Amino acid sequence: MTPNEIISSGKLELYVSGVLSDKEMYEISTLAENDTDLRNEITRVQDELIEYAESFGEEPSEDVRAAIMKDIPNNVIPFKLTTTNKGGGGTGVMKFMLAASMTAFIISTIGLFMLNAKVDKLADENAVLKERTTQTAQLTQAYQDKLDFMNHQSVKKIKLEGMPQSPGNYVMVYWSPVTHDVMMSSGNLPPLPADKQYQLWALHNGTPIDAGVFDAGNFLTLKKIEAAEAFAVTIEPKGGSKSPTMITMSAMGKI
Amino acid sequence: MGKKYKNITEEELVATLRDDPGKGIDILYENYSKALFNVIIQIVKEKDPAEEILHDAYVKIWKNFSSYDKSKGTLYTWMLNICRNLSIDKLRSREFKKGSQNQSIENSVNYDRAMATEFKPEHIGLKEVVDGLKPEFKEVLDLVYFHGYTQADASEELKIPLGTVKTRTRNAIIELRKLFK
Repeated sequence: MTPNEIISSGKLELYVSGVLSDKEMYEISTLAENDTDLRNEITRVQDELIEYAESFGEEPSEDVRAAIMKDIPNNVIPFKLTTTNKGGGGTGVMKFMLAASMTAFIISTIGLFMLNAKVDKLADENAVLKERTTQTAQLTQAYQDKLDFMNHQSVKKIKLEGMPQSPGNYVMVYWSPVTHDVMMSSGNLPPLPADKQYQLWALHNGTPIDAGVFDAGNFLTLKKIEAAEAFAVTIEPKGGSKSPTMITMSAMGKI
Repeated sequence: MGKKYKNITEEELVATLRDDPGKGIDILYENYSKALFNVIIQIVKEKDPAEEILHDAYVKIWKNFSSYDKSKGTLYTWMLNICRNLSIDKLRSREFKKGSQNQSIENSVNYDRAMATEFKPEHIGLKEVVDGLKPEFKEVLDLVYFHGYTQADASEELKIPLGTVKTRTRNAIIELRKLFK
């Protein structure tokens, strides 16, 4: 059916109600992507059906809204020091390194002043502070290593872009054809349910090769990849799959 | 419940849910929660269980947003299905708890359908809706829209020809348009 035929057929109320066959739902959705009139008519029909439902007059109490918002995890992905980072990796890492260096400096300064007072107590406290400084230094070194890798001359930076059904997705992959190391940042991929994970695949001569699994908000080193012409991300059961579930492809990019 | 986000397009809404999920969920609640709540009540009939289901539905929508596939229909349709399914599950579990007779899955589906065909004008909100829609048109529209029946299912349930179902759905739409112009 053409868009105009669909509009005059009265099928759109059935479409919005979700009761057409899978094939018809798909056909109309696909046509609507390229036809403004059809899209507008779907919106009009939908608004009408929404008003119709609302005309029955019931309203949920305010408690429901509060309960929902309470049960939805915080919008901000919590910043995990060792393995994760928000988005593209640039500013966030720099800010963290600055904070880490400042913290290390402050901790050392306090340690020095306190040494001048009482030795025994200070010896204990100093040991604790030293431990924290060491940990922070290790963390800073870990991030420095990541930055060094990302900036290495041999490393290829590949931006994986979203598919037509999920435009706007992006993932950054850093791959060295020389050392075979792979690092990735999950970009803006949304969180998944607990039983699923994202999986990175390297595509070489048309064959997908498993590069490892990750979650939304991760900035990680994954499995080594010897050769690739492209990378892709799919959604798999937690732990990953042997071969990619192609219809869940969330992002892809060629080298 | 004021509508804050009147002119947001489907595309913009999906993009907001991706890039600013907190705002996206706020929009979904502002724009759709009242309608979805009424859909749920049409199925489960009582307000308290309906509020529980609405809550569960929105949490499920949040958790499963990555599996929303726009090639299958609009966001509202996807949410509508989630609400209907949770409501039907609630009805079935309620019947199991009561230990009623004839509790095979098939029979509980028929029980749902029997409940669905009750038409009680006194439960309707606005008088206009009742006056505006002939009962037989409304009956078919409600089966399709609230309960998610295909026209073939509705024809089987109401024991009227498919052609009649189609005509009545069509007429219900025409009447609706006049009411909401």
